Amino acid sequence: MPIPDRQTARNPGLIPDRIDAWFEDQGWTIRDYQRTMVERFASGTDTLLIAPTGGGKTLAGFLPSLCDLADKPKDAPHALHTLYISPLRALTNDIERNLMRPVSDLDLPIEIGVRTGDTKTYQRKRQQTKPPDLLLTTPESLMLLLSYDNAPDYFASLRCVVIDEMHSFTTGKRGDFTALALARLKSLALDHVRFGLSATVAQPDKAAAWLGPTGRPADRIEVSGDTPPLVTIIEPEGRFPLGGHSPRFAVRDIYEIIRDHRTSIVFVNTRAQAEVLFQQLWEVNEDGLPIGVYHGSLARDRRQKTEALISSGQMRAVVSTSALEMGIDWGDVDVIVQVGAPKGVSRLLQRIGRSNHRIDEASKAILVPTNPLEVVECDVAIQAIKDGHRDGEDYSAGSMDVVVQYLVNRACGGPLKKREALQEIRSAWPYRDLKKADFDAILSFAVDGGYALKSYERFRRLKKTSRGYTIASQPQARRHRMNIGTIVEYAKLKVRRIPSPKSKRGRVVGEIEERFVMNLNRGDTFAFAGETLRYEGIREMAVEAVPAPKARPKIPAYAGGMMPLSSYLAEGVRAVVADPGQWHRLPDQVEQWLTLQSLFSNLPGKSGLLVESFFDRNDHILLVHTFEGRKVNNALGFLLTKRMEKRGLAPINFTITDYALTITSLEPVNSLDGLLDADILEDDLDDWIVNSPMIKRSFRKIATIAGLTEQRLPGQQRTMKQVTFSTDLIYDVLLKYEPDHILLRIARQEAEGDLLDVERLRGFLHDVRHDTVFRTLPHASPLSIPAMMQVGREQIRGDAQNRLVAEAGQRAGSHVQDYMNGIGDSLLDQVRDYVDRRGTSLSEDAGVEHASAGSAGARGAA
Amino acid sequence: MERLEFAARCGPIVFDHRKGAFLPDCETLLVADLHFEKGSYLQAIGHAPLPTYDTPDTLERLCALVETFRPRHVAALGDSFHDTKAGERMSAADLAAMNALVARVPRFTWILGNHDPDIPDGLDGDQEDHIECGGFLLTHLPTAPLKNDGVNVCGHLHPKVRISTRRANVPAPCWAVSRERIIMPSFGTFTGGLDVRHPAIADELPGARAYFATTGKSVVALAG
Repeated sequence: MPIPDRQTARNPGLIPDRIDAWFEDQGWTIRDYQRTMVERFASGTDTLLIAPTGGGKTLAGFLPSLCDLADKPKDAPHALHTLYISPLRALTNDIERNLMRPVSDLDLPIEIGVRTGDTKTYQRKRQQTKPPDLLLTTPESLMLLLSYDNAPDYFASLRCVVIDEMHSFTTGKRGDFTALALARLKSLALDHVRFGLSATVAQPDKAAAWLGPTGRPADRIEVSGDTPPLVTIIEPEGRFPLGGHSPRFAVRDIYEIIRDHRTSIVFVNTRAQAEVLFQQLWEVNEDGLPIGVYHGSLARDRRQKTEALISSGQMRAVVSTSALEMGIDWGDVDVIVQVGAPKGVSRLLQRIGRSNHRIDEASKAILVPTNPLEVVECDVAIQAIKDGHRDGEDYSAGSMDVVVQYLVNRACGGPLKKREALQEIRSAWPYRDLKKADFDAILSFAVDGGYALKSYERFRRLKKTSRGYTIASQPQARRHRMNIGTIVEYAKLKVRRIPSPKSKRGRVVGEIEERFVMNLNRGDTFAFAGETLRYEGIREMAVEAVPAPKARPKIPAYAGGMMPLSSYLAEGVRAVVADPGQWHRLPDQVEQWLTLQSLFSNLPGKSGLLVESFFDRNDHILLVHTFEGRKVNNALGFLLTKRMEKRGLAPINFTITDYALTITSLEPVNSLDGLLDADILEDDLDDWIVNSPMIKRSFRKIATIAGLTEQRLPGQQRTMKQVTFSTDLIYDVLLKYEPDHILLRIARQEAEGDLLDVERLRGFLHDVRHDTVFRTLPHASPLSIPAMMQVGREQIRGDAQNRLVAEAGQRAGSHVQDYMNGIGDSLLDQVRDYVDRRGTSLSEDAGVEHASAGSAGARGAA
Repeated sequence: MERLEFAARCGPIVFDHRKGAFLPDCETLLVADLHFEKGSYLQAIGHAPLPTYDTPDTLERLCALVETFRPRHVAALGDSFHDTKAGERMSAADLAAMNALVARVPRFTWILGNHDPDIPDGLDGDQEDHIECGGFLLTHLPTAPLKNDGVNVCGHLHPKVRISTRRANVPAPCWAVSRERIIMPSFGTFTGGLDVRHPAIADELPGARAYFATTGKSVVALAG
């Protein structure tokens, strides 16, 4: 890379004296690596800075820009100098607060702007005409800025891009998306340097390759000297539950931790858990401590208020999801509580790093596992931290649906030439090996859908001109801009909190998934935004709800609650479970639990496989304790259910955890009898997977990212017709008429690459072929309970479903005729009379349930 | 079972797992809410690059039903075309195939949906607001039956129900039935459903209810 001529810095690579002095005034010293970053800026060297939390990483990222801009003439024209990209909106606000101090203390001629989804329209307009020197943004907002036709001018002056918390989003679709945005910036402003700031990662070379343009990995600065954190497992008063993910048993213990510390962050793994635990903590909050709740579905003003309360030290504890996981610098947080399994060493360290941001003091964390297997997982994670181990990251090839979105984005900003676009995309490291043929198919989809049947010739998303491809129309551009991003969520409705049933107006307190609302009836209560609300109905596209302080709430559904376990932890857990010599480290309860498992059934060996079969409630359960992670269990789930279907065992569904596969069937598995032989891998899985809910879920995300369907419709209320249109219908039609369509290909590739690991399964089945223990048991074993309580079943659309549906019909079928021919009506009248006399408000639907259960023996379907 | 017969108060009606119903007394095949050209509508108005195989697919499935029942009369209960401009977007081949189907049966009636009253020019078949078949009153929107013991068969609402089996809820399109009304499931390939508990449907079904749900393989009766 040529060394650029830096005009503004008189002494390139040196820190101006007054900035040095300011740091001294604060009692801080500028560290060597922070100085090095200033030199790297001067020499124009892309650099990945890997440093532990609390090491002043963010400052190191900004220091070069502050130095370079310090001597800027006050009357210089507005021009964007530095772009700061963060994975979280909360982080940009926090960084802005921290940066404002030196800038105002030193009266530096630097303007700082924030641009995220939370930025108000008038601020956006101002930023558009008068760019700040430093713009703090998220990948999505950056992509939006790149979609405007003034992007070449806007970004031409760019000198520096800082990517904060880079480790948290370089893998996955959001990383692909960011890599493409970076590639575009490089075309628009050749002369800028990229800085990546990252926590410790397992594969720094890959991270450096990701950061630089393809073929020119960034330089690395690795800072060590982390003080190891103090991590312990909670010693609860009560007993660990045998399965599930509820921290109820330890609420009082958690409360006492909060009381004993200055400020605590209580991390949970899902938004639903956050709401529930928050309520439970308030139930025991005898001292009335200020305890808050924080997650991404809360309204903007709510979140910002909580952020402000925490940073000013007015909050004693906040229950949070990963939304507060990164960057936010609250020196006062002195303990982290992690509820539920940590799921990965790196993730756990990230969370622990939120406490005590001083590099030379140990952070403190207390883990609250919610079942015995999680206790073991926590123990393994603690050992791994001691050993300095980090999880391996999964740097797979870039996703093609993201390219579709990128191409449309490019075309919104001006003409796109095919050859240039391909070159630009390949300069993003995840796409270095993108094939020309795939690119052509993606472009063809971006242009007009790329279907063989074009019944309506006028349809175009992009139009071809002699200058290249441009967006076909302004409505197309608008539609695209409304849907930028790779985070696909379920449709959501705003929640309007009405203070009392009589008042008309209320405040929007956040959003809730439409799926969840579908299952609510008027009068149902649910936990939201830290209180219990009663559902009143939907009006003007918002859920209206009134506070219901004393009711016991349902729990809102949020997608994406499940995080995959790192394979390192899975292996570690198996090693501990298999080796009684290590159990002494575990709490007594868990040791007893493992002993019971060894007496009642077997322990899974260090190698080998334990398979258990038993009857539970109505169905037969087959539990395969592989300890091989989700992808292996998922692949095995599909293969095994297919073979069971063939053998007439009528599998109903399966669930996976990182440790085990659970299959429910109508018929018992009495012996393995070749069920698990390696030859099941020869079975063709395609036709079994092609209709599975799993692949349809993938397709829904792909279809949204590629712009086939949308998350929101611009300026348009959704009518019934739109609400009820699902991507499953599109999937089925494509499968029938155009099975090789690019979007179906992407869906299949994703299923094979990201969701299943057939190769690893092959090795595993080979290894355990002589070492499989099969036990038929009178009921569930201790080890099987966490697996059985796992949510998220993969339904098998086979014989079992037909049988179950027929059974449901039979129960009702023969009686329906009588019921409809009058008996039903008279019974309904009797029930209504009864209800009226009792003066309760039993709904009509509930009455029908009584009637049908009592007379026709049918289950109410209403 | 692939088909179920239900004795409504004015006569029998057969529910087929492919979302068509048959009135044996007047040999009439009923389908509702075909929504032809919904795919191209979403392309043109929604700006979405969706595939447009929905019209030929819907037509193909309707042909298969005609093949099975050999009806003397086919009635499409409204919202047959997704919007008033559907005809302009429809391909010549699809229009020809539609007319060929109309010609295959002695009588073919397009009952007109209130919202989309236009049937494309050049399309054969009768056009009606409603038809009476014995005691059955065939309409698009829910309408009070004309006779005392009559039954209104209508479309418009796209009902679907959850079949509660022992182990899982299986969502399925259905006929939502009360003594005086039968709401048809939507037939079009790109049409989804509305849960029968939604007031838009529930309010149209006073008194005892039953649902005849189809999984695409079989029809089951559920007391509501």
